[in-house]
Amino acid sequence: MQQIKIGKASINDIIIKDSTVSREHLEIFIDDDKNVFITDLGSTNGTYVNGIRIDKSVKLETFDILLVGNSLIEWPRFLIADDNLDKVYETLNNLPPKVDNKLDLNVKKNKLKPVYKFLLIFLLTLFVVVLIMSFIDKNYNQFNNNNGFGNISESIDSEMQIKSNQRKKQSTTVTYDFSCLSNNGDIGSNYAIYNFGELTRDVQSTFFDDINISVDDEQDAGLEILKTYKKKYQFIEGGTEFKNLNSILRNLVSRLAKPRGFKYKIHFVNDSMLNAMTAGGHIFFFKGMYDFCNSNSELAAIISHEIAHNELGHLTIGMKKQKAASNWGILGEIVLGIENVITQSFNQKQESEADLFGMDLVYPSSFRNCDAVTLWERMSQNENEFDVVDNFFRSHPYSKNRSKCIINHLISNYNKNCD
Amino acid sequence: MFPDLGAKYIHVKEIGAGGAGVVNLALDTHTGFQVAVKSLFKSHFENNPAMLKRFRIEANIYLMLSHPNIVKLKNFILKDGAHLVMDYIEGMTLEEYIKTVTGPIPSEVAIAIIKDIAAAIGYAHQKKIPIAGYNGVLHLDIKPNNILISDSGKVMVIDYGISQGTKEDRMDQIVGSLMYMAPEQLEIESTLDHRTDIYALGVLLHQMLTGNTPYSLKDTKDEIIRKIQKEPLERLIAIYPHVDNRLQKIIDTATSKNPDTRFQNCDEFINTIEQIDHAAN
Repeated sequence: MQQIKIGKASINDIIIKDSTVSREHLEIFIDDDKNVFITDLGSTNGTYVNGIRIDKSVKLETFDILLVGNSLIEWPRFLIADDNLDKVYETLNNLPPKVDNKLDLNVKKNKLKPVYKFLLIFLLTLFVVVLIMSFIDKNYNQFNNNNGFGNISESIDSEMQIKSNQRKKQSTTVTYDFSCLSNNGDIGSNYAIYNFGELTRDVQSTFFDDINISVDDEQDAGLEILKTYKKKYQFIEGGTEFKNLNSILRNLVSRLAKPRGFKYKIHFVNDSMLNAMTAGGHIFFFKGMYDFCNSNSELAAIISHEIAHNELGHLTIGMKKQKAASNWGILGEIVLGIENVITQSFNQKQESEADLFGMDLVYPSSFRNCDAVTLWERMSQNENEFDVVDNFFRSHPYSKNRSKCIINHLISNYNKNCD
Repeated sequence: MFPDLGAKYIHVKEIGAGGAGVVNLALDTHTGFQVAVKSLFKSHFENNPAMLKRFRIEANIYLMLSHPNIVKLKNFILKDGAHLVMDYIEGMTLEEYIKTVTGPIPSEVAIAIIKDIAAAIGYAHQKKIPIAGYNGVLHLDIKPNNILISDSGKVMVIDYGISQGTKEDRMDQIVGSLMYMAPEQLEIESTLDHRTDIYALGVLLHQMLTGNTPYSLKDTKDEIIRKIQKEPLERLIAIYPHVDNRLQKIIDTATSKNPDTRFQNCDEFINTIEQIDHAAN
């Protein structure tokens, strides 16, 4: 025979710290034949057996589910001979955290604050893969030997520009036409023409107005990704190629007309994946991508594209959505590994926005805009070869349409013909 | 159709329906969280007490499995039918995920997903629960439709509805999940153990990497049964030229026709996969 008292107060045999549980909530009585009876001790929120509130002593049958306030109790464990109460305690302590508040509209708002401590975890969700990973065929090294980075005049040119104080900035009078993304070429309602202000205004987008994500929040997200990646990859932190990437980065960042304030940093990942990605000003550039590029102008096309994702707030919008989603209690579900993060992606329109904005950064520099067109086209040819291996092209869509957008953009805004 | 569950649950919308029941999204007004309510119609179990029993066992299994990758029970209600109230996972099934989001899943990601699934399945295998006949909890219906990928990327195992079950219970399921069955599952008389789940994990990994169902959708039932018994799964290299051969070996070991030559438990499966994982780093 055994009697077990359950409630919130410390005098009970089993203590459940849940505000929906009364101080002395119920009593469980197990007779010598292992029959189990429960009695509610006049609790506020009640004791339920299979969803029905009990008002007197009830015998529990096998498979009955016992709910005390908002807590489920694994009562069959009480019947296991070997299980002493310590173990039961342990079981109950392992139950998921209880939610204290009844729902009302105010509670929802209050919940945003505790959510903040989970922000770091959310930040992981915001990581974005911009380009395509794959195993790179070593054959491309041939290209590098012929056309690689020994292009001294180009490098020197870039360096000199960095030292110059009179930097030419990106144009703010350009227009962005996304009708090219539509397959039949007509300007449907899906694709609008934006000017510079409209494109960059998305950062302060109104649809999650009450949720604020600062540049610092995004940079923290980037740092989280960096931490995870440091465990996973080796980083190259010196040498000609690393310096070259940094010099291109500084050059392009200095072209920003209205920088949001990121502290941009290149992380050169020693991995043969054909990949580059960004989060919160941190740009992860894979060695495989470096080897794939034939010139500094091609590298600039990629780096400017990554900068653009940050400046256009593509990450911000995702973060806002995440934060808004937490209102509805999926909080517990948001525990992420980097593996999950790379399944996130930008959509095709965002990719195209980043292409065009990136071209605006490249234009005032000495890098060649048209190299971007050839680079993306070369990469899209590899799509067929690589997509069965690691299918990043599907989640990070690249299409001929996107090159078309770049070509149109250069002609209509800069009168620059890449043919 | 949403059952009357009292003021505690406010109906939001129907999110799924089958022959025997329906799944609804509801708001738990006591906690403020959304829940998925899986309901079994009264008409379906009135004359079939075994069905209700299975449903109640399912509730108890969820109650006793406390794992980050296994969906959690919130309540169970026997009123106007039977209703499992579960955590609501906003997202999609792995099947939809492969079909609409990824196509073949990059090996790095597929490895991460299968590790989470195997950890959950392995945890359940080792869980001793006080229900007669259960020595650890088998899933026995692991397939892409029973794995959820939440919007935040978290992997959740759902549907312990068949679980250990009786041989009769298993008969019910042959139609739905034939593609993911181990050879021994086709034999009504055979005893199933945790290595049956290991087989399904191997098939699942194959599907993630190739983006294809394990057998052609055009195959007849008899053809599929023959292939399950006699033929290995399609070679990865046929669809996937740069495949890491170790992945093929893992799938082959997991889906060996003879349970004795499979990985003998989920830990072994996970450890072997982690070797690839580490090597890739």
